[in-house]
Amino acid sequence: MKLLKWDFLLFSRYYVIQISLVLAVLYGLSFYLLGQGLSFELFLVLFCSETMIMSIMYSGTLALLDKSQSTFSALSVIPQPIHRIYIERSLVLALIGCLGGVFLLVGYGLISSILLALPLLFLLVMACSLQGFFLGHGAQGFTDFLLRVVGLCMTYLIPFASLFWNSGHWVWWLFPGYPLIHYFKYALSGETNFLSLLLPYIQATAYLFLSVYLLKRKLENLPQS
Amino acid sequence: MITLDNVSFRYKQAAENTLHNLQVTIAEGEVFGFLGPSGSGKSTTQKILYKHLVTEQGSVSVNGKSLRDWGREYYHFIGVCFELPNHYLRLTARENLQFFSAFYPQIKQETINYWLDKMGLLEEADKRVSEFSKGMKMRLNFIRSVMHNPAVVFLDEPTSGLDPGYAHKVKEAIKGLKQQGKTIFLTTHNMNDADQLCDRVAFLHKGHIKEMDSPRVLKLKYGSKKVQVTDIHGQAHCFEMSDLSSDPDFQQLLQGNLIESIHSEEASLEEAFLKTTETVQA
Ligand SMILES: Nc1ncnc2c1ncn2[C@@H]1O[C@H](COP(=O)(O)OP(=O)(O)O)[C@@H](O)[C@H]1O
Ligand SMILES: [Mg+2]
Repeated sequence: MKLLKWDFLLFSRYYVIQISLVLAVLYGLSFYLLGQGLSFELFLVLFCSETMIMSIMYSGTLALLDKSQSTFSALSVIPQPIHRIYIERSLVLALIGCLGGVFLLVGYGLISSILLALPLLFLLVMACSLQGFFLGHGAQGFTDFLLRVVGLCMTYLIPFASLFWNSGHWVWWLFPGYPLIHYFKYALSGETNFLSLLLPYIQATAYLFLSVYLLKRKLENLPQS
Repeated sequence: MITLDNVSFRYKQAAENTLHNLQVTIAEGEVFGFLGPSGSGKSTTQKILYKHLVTEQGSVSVNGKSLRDWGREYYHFIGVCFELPNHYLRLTARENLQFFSAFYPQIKQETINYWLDKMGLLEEADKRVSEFSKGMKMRLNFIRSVMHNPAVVFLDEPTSGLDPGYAHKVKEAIKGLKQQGKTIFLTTHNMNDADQLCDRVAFLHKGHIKEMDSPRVLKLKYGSKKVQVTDIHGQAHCFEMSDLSSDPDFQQLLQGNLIESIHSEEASLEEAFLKTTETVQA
């Protein structure tokens, strides 16, 4: 936990925090100043890309950084299991993502749903960060990472089709980012019931654990050089 | 303290073994030097010892416990000084050390300052590592490997890239660690450093250990003492120390009073190393 402070410092030195906050404020302000009329669907796409997809990029880049500066080898001779370092970093990235999310929601005027949405957003962004670390550590270099990350990001964009088509179909739940869409759709439509608010949390938690598991395995089997 | 029992290693895609049947026992408190030209497998051996590489062939134990049975607590027990600098370039030297010290509750700010001072980095401690020279980064590597007070330290070419003054600081620090009873496994291709620091050395050649003993014994065994003579005409001559009394050329110079200066030269570890590895190739 003492590490969190250092992660914040590290992230700010590499401008992760600044970039994401500037972006979020920019989005929030634009929504606010441009006023009503931005369709909710489009807002959701922007919201998702600014929070979840950006965190994949940040964490992937940070993983590549640890490889290119060889700090990864230095991290692998410390008494703490290395995946824990990356879990803590994803916690930090999730916090940053949530803060950014708040700006977007306030700017768009969705203040009332912030409280319920934030814990879900936290789980999702944290899972995204872990997936970014996973991709970054698995990639041979930056180009390799880019190719893989585009693939992953697509899986976050595809379920937006559910806003127009076959919504509520179980297939959408297979997509890691779907809980957010589902949550906003039902939380705001008024037809809220307990299950439709609970399901997103269950799915997000499941994906979070899966991401932790995959990252842990990847880091354990990484060839060291 | 450290035992390698018949250890061989092959990289995944490699056609043949990089290390062949290494058999080494290092006592507690010993400074052990692993010498060899680059590519001989020194770093590979270190990586096996600090568990970055795993080998199925042979067994390694540290402090009586097989490496397989050591968990992450192993890294409290050992310290690793990498061959190449690896720091967060946008953090300062001090921040880098503080970041890594977050994993060791026992490290205090004073400890960090003590080592920064000892390695001549205190004044630059608050500069970003990106502004550091290779030598400064290497000294930072060294600090990171010892600041948690480990019982065993692995040093991979700790003096490479350092100018003589700082190399001296590192060597003094290594001697200090030895005095505290630490076990040190040192790899280097610098024979003089090894001669000064090590209780015992092993000569590694293409993954084979060719010789292993104290530098003194190896020098006696393979080296020869020489005498450098300069005559009054400025001409240099070199004689074997053991032949002096019978060497006609030397006697001629001596009796003709033609000698301006005489220097005796120590047998060098380098000579011993070259002889060992040559006989192997022949
Ligand atoms: N990751 C790797 N994959 C394949 N071969 C390697 C790898 N790392 C080192 N080698 C080979 O192993 C041999 C020993 O390398 P190394 O242990 O680094 O030598 P040294 O430290 O003595 O200079 C070299 O021939 C090198 O090419
Ligand atoms: Mg090496």
